[in-house]
Parts: sequence; structure tokens; C-alpha cells
Amino acid sequence: MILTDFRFLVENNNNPLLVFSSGGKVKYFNDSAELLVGMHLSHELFKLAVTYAPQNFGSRTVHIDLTYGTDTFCSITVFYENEDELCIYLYRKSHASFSKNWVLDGYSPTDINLLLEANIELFKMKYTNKLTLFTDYSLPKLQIQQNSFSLLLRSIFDQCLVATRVDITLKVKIGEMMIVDDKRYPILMLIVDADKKSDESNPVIEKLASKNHILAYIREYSLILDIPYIMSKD
Amino acid sequence: MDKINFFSHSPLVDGIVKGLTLSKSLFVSTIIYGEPHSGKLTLVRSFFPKSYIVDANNLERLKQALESHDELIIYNFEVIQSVDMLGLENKRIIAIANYETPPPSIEMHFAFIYRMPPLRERIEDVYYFLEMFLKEFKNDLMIEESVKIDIDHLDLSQNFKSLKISLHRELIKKTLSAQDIEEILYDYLYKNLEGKNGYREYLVLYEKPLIEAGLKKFKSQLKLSEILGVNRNTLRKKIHEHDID
Repeated sequence: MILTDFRFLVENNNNPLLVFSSGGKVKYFNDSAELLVGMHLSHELFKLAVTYAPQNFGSRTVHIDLTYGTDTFCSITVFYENEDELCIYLYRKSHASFSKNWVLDGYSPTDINLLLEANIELFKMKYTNKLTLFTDYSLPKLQIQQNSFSLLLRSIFDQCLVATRVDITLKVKIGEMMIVDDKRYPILMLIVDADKKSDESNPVIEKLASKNHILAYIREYSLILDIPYIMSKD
Repeated sequence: MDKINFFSHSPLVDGIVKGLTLSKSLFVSTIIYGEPHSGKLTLVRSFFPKSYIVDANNLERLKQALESHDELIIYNFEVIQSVDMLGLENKRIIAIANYETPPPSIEMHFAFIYRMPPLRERIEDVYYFLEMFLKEFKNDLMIEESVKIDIDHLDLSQNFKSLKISLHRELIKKTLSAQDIEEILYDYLYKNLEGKNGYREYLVLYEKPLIEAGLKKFKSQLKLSEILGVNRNTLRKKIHEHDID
């Protein structure tokens, strides 16, 4: 007889799990699904579960690429064993893992707005269409490798040269932390939205992001960076 | 060290100045490329007056400078064969290169890349520097009378270098007296006169400018033939002979 309570593992699982009533009302969601529910996605997820539900009682796993905010998923399992409830379990895509023993060599306290502005000026020498910047000028300095981060920004902006509108947003991500080398950091999020941009995947961006311990999400019309907000080298 | 000022009224250069102003306090590597003698070094020195400057032609000195400085200006950067071997990581490099377009392998070493436009793309600057150099040269040559320089007579092919040379020439030409011209011709003929047909060969030095200037001034061959006191047919023959438009 197994004495372990599996519910704990379900509740603390990194992959979101939601249980719906037959009418589409959320009856249960685990910790990982909190953000999805917070983003008012429950109706969309219920529709997804209904679409991919197995014909009879049981479960069905489908490989499907899903993106909600900065979360990306590669497959889902839909499960039901009675007429009253329907469960959906989403599998997160794995991200590039950051190396241990992270050395902050070359990192220096940086006014991120100044660095961003200098890079925007460079971009504006080649891009003359509409550009907006929404930022928080009171952001405290963060530790960053200024040269390498600027190279990353240049590569991102270069993808938007074909756009007629570019919107840049820099803000602290609320409610989420990032773990690098076993340390938790707040997340500074840079969103570059463009009405048109060149190739969706870009190995240079991915390589530079990884080098800077930044998570890069490259979408059809946007690029999002999750930057660890490191205040000090200690 | 004297303070170095950089002047430009060109919107194309404004972007570079703005970028350098913003990134001046950041630890980022920058490369400024463009044609030789277009003002790249002056611009960089005006922004980074205290930075160590090294010529990439002297590889040994460059390597020593990289060992002892975290921030340095490297000019003639285009001569460096293998940039990867130099270890530019975690250094603030401000490179100046005479590239037409930097190769992609170079681009990945520099976060900020600027192209310095040649003078012929910055005509606002040509007028500004023409005035400035003219004042300076007139002072050097102790010329007091006012001199008008036609901008079309200036050579911009080598940017500031050819601008200065051509301006010097124009200035001297504008201030020559008849005696100066005679003496110049004398020196030239004394040095070059030889062969069997010297009279005809060197007469062009006098006849061609005479007819060209006359045609421009009087706008008619008939009028010019009267002024010069020669037959119209003779003048037409000379125009043809000297291939004058």
C-alpha cells in the first residue's frame, strides 16, 4: 500500500493542471495554473480541453504548441472519468538552462533606461517609422554586461527594421521570480512589439540571451526578454 | 592636452553624436567606420579625450595597450587580421576603421556601430569648414582682400584631406598677380620645354584659358573675336584645335 499523498505533487507541479465542471467552471487549479487563471484564460482552456477530450472516458495526450503570455507549452493531456468533470494538464516547454557557478565577470551597475535609450538611438539611425517607449524611469540600477546586452538589443531591433510600428515596454514582472544559479531574482521584462518583423527564430538572439542569463521569447510579432533583476554581485 | 572640438551641422552626424553622448558613460564597445579623412578620429577624441589612443598598424604596441588599459581608442582598426586573437572581451574599445562596410565577424565585437558619412554627403558641413579653413589659410598666407571660392572647384574625393589641398590651390589661384602667373609659367616652361615643336605645344597654356574665359565672359564667338582682335574663322579654328566646348 502506498502511503504517499500524491495531491501534494500535483499542487506543486511545475506544469499547470485545471479541473473544470461540465459547464466550464473552474473547480480546481494547481499553483502553476494560477497565472493562467489570473489571465482569464479559463474559458479558452476549457474550450481547448473539450476540443481534445478523448471520445470515451480516459485520457488523451496531444502535442500542440501553445503560448500564453511568456509561458509556452508543447503538449496537453485531457482526462475525464465522469460526466461532471474535465481535467486538462499542460506540459511546459523546457527553457535553456543556465550554467551553475555563474560568474558576474564584466557585469556592472547599469541604468537600464540609459542603456536602452542609447540602443534605441542607434536603431533610429536605420529605422525611421513610428516608435514608442513605455518605461519606468525610477527603476534602480541592475547588474548587467552592458556590451553583451547591447549586442542582444541590436540583434532584436534589427529584426524590427521592416516594421512600420515598434512599441517597446520595459517593466518589472509582478508575481514572478527567476532562479539563476540557485538564487531568486525579480524579473525585468522588455517587450518589443512590432507590426512586422523578420525571421521568427534567431539563433544569435538565443545565444546572446543565454550568455546574459536572459530568457528570450521570440514570437511572430514580438520579442520578450525576461531579465534577472540583479541588484548586487553579492 | 588641448580640448578637441568636433563640429557638424549634418543630421547624419547628429545621430552619431547623440548615440555617443548617451553611451559615453556606459562600458560598451563602439566602432565608427567610413572613408579616410572624414573626421572619425576627431569625433572620437572629442568624446573620449582621456582615453589611450593606439594605431592598429603597430601590433606590438596595441597588444601592450590592451594589457594595460581597459578602455582605449584603436584607429586603423581595419588592418587587424584576427580580431578574435586580441581578447577584446570585457574591454571598452572605441575602434576607428576605414571600412566601406565592416565584415560581419567584426560587427559581433561591437555593440554600437556607426557609419561616418563622407563629406560629399554632408554638404552643410562643407560650407561650414570652407569658411573656417578659408579664414585660417588667409591668415597663414597673409591675404587681406576678400576671396570668393566656388564650392564646385573643391575636391571632396578624399574628404578633409582633398578639401584642404583644393582650397589651398583655389586660394592661391585667386590671389595671383600677372607677375606671379608669368613667373609660374617661366618656371614650368624652364623645367619642361624640349623637343621640336615647343612653340605650338606650349602655346596652349596661354591660348586655351584665354578663349575659355572669353567665351564664358562674352558668351559669343563673334564678340570674342572682336575683343581679341582676331578673325572669326581663326577663333573657330582655335576652339576646334583646343577641343573647347
